[in-house]
Amino acid sequence: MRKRVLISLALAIAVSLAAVPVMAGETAYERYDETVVLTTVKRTDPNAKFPEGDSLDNNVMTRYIKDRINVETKTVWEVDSTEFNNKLSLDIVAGTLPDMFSLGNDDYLIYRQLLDNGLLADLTDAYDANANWYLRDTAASFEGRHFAPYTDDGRLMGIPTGRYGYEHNQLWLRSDILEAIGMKAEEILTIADIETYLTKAKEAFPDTLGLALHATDPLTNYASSFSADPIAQVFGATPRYWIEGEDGSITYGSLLPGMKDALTVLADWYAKGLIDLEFPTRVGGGLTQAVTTSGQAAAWFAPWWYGWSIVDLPKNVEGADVVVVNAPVNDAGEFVAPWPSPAGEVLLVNKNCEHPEAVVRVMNLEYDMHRGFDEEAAALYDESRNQNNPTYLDASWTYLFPTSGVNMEYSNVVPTFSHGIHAFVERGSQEGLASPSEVTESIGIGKFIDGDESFEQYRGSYYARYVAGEITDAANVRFVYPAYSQTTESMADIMPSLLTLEQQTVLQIILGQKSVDDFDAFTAQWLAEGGQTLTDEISALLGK
Amino acid sequence: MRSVKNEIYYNAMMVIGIGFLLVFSIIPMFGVIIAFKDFVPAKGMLGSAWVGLKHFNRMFALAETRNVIRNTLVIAISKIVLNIIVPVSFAILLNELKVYPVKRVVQTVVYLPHFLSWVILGIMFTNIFSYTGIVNQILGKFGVPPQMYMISNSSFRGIIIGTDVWKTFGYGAIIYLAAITNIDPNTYEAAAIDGAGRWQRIWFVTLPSIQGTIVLMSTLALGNVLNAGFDQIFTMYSPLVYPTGDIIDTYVYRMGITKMQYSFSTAVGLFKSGISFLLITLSYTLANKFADYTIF
Amino acid sequence: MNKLRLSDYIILAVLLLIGFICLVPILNAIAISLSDKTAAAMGEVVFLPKKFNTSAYEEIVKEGRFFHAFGVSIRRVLLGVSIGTALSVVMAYPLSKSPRVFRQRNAYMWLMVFTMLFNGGLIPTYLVVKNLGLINTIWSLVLPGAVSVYNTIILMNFNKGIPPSLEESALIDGANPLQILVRIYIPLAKASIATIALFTMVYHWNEFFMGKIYINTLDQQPLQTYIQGLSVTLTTQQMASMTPEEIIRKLAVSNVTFNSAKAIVSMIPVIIVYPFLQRFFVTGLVMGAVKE
Repeated sequence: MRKRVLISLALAIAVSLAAVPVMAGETAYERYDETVVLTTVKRTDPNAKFPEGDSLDNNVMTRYIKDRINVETKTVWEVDSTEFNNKLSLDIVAGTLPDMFSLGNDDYLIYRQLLDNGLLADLTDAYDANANWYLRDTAASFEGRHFAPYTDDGRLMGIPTGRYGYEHNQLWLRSDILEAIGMKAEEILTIADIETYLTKAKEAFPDTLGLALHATDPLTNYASSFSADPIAQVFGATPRYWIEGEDGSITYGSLLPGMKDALTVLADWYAKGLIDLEFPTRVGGGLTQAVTTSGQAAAWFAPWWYGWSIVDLPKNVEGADVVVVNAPVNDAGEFVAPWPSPAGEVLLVNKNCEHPEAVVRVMNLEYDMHRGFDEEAAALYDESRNQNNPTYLDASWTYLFPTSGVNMEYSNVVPTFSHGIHAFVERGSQEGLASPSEVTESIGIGKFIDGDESFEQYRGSYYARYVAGEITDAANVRFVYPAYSQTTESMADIMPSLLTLEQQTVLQIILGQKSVDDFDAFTAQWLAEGGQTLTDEISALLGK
Repeated sequence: MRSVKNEIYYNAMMVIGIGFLLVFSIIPMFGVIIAFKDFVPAKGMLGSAWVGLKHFNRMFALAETRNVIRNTLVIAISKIVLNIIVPVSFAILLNELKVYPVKRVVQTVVYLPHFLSWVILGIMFTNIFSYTGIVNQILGKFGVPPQMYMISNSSFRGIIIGTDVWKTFGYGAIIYLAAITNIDPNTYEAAAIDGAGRWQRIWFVTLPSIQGTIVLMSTLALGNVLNAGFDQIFTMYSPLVYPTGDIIDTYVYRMGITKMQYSFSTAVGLFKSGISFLLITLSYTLANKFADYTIF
Repeated sequence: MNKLRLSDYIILAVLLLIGFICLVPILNAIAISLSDKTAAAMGEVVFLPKKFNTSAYEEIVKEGRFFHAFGVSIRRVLLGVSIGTALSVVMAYPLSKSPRVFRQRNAYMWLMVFTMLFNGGLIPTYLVVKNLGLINTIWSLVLPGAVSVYNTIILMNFNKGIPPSLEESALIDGANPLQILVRIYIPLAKASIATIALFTMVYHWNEFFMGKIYINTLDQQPLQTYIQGLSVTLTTQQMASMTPEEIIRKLAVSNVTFNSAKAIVSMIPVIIVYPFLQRFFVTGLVMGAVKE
């Protein structure tokens, strides 16, 4: 019963949302007289379970697309995401590329190779004539920056998603520990405050391990759980980013002087036992995560979505709870955070695909259904969602999309949604919510906050969207933008060994095996072993 | 007794099998042509431009490739040497065991690993050598600080070689056990009468008697100098240990498939096949000459 | 002579230790698979399960994919063993004839040995399999490796040891080579044939790479390929290109107790045939490797 109430409420809102001004391409929803079949390939989702009789090529979404525009999809193969590029590689050799497929931003060289081999379709016209208002509107929120890497000679050679921001690492603290040691989350601002918290936590709870840290990569960049990069950023260094200096020169952010300050702090904390002493050993298999969910960690850095990863904590430790803060801040009171590369995934279309415009039209319908811009479609989707495992579908809905892996969002979707939820929960206002599915989630979070135990499944959403997401765009957050974030010609050859060198140096300094002064030697070695080549390449690409 | 009728039968019996080999082994061999071309999938194998030895030159110029060849040699040669010493020692030791039920149990147990796949063993050894695994627990009792052996460049090769010996020594010992069984018991009795102790009997009777088998097996192993074990390393390595653990076969796979350097990887693979071919031919010639060994 | 001396006890102890070391990884994996997830991850398990529970095995049963892949592997083994063994048996007989009786014999032999020493590499072979339309079928796992030159040589060497007089009398009676193979050679070579059949079985059961290359959908994936995919470790680079949800899912899947349980269950078929294997392989191996 409760579910039905949720759906009807969601529907009511969908109707009001339909009033959004539509500026779709002229043929965005044009139907084909003869069935068009698009072939595609997928990355496996090990948790996927379709209702009886449904499959990747026959489910609520493909049926809707077939119904509306007479387009079918055929999944030629699906493999584990780590094997995806290998399979694609074999398809390239055999000349059997599917009609459409997606690549990540890290696969930029594969995109270049496909482009140079003349295997990609020019999507300029297909996109212009067919993208619906949502595709255009979300693209506009990135001011078109994400199109640049996938534009060749003025022609659009793929449909990239903007990589939305605000997934930087924040400081997660245990509110139960704060209470026990008589501190308040608002008091945790500077490096010194964090140290005080960790020290007192350790004194009060000798069994806890302090700050959990990433086993192999304690200082990396955007959206990497357990990386202590906020500590580097507060000192003006941006690990792993190519940064443009005030004089216009390009530098690798892990070489900036602030890194030394950050390493000094981390090495000092490690020596004092304020960092999980065994952190380097927790490699793979979610071991560091286990330290946080088992209640052993007093603090860790992670992005907003870590809320879903910590849901087991209260089950493991009676009364344990978490709170998220923007710390540490610098002397000006700013919390410095990295902004991601402009482009995320990209959808590419085979040059031999007869209907590239069908790909864009399919994309339109995916969002019409999933975001509920088409109310009937939304009802169908919710019905199927409830037949499936709803939590699963909410987490991995892109798997269902024929253009899987591509996720069109507004650049500020994270804080916007969080603010919308706060407005809904605190004032009952629905204005900040962009779709019925967001309303459904807000209702769930509200019930969870009210202590309704049957809404326990919304605990993760509560931590992530309500607690952490809310402060991602706080007034004192200052963003640092990367100057360049694609791969270059030599990067594939040179970067892996440089990365190993960097990771080793950072680890050794934190563990006290090397002194902070050795960092200068690392900088020199890094530049000598190919780092200078990369810097020069990027400077040249940017016309410096 | 030759008869044309029988020969027709013989040929007919060969046809299906040879057909399989032609289709799945011989035809693909023509694909090595792309090692001498800049293979562009869109143009096909024949249409791509001929570049001669360009990819071979690049292979020898790249520090990465040289390192991969070095890793291959170090790992493969260590395995070859240990996979002779350990099985021989084990066979001799087992031969000295007089408690027969135990002998049978030990034999049953030591042959088993040979039949388990590296996929499964990869999971098991990852457990054992993990930071929280048995090895660290035991060494911890002796005050050795725990380490991450599987991802450390100082221990990865050792693990690869050691686990390979672990997997194959029992099975490898069978052939030496057979050779030892063939020794005339009178030789031992004669030695015992002469007052030879256990050690002397091993040294002066057992070892010389199986010397021929040892030499033969060593010669035959020569062909494996570039085979460091793809399945094993593929299931156990990670990017962190590429500097010490990456071998030609894994490198060819990553270059050819993951990085889509089709021509270059084919060139590296061809280089390996060529050298191996020469070595195997050499080893069988030697074996034939000195041990009168023929495979067919 | 039968009295045991100190050195005998030392040898006994050393051999028992060696035998035990051979079992360590298996015993450890069994213990981990029967332990509590957290205890296993924290490294509290050696040879005895901590907080004994069978949830990992229950999960395997619940998760259909494992047994589906198990079934694919069984089918592969059945097809692979019957085709592979039949081909070896049929080919080993004419090859055991001398070139005087079978003039083309050495040409075949060289061709076969050549394919054993040299191969065209992954991509050309893939293209052949693809052009035959075998991709994503069970045949792509069975046919490319159907002819085992090594097994054929082992069997051929055994055939050579069969006294020619047996065959000659049958020939005089007017039997053709096929009848001779069926009536005389196969019955005599039963043990050898069983040996290579078992070797082929173990090969097809353990092989994972073809499944990785030739199979496109999960429902056709053989067991070892499926298990290999589980133990993939994530590199930083891969993580960067995955969505947060993907990473979380990925890490949740790579779970030490669950994986150990899968390793143990997938060993069972090999363990079942192992006693038979052991009975046969000693003779088979010695015959194939050193011909007298």
